[in-house]
Amino acid sequence: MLLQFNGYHGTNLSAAKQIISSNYELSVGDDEWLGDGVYFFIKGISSTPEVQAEKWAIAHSWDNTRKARRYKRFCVLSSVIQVEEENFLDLTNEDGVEILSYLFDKFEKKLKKLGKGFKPVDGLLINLAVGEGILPIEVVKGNFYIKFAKERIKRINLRTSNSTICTVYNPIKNIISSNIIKIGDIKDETK
Amino acid sequence: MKLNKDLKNRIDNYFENISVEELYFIAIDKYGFRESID
Repeated sequence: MLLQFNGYHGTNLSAAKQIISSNYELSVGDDEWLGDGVYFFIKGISSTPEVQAEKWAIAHSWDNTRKARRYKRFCVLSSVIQVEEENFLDLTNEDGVEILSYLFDKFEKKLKKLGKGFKPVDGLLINLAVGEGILPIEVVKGNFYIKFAKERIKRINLRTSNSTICTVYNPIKNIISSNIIKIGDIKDETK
Repeated sequence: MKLNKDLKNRIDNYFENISVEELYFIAIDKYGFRESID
């Protein structure tokens, strides 16, 4: 069964234009999330993922080292994501969690023969499963606690998820279309 | 995606056919897993 849903990606204006002209590039090194892929906010915990994408683009514009904005104009893209059900790992339900747990269990048991132990990190496990072809994963969905500008400034750090995130590992195959739905200026004050 | 018999076999086969040493090398060098020492 073919699944189709909208994903919202927040970024800066020049990156958005690049995406429209030549598709997304994978975000690499997000081992604490869902591995190397293109990240989207989707409907789930929040009914307004497009607002979350905007808030993310604004939060991400701040360079804490330089104490300055990386960019002054944000952009929200809406993308249509298509994936066959057998290639879709849903970590918001029991079936998906069971798959990831089984994978880590096998991984851990194998390496115990060397007397080695590893911390289970979701993103690294997914990278291993995708990269080595262990599982036919093309798109993964999960719930996370995302820190937007307010949470970063006020140092709010909850364990309760506030966002549903979807990651696409092969954008050429699974992203059917993308459109810019909002462009805006970033104000220096965060309300 | 569900953990059916085919998917279990697929996972089992991968870990049965790879040597422990190769998996250790792949986990550390290719995917950035970090060893845990108690």
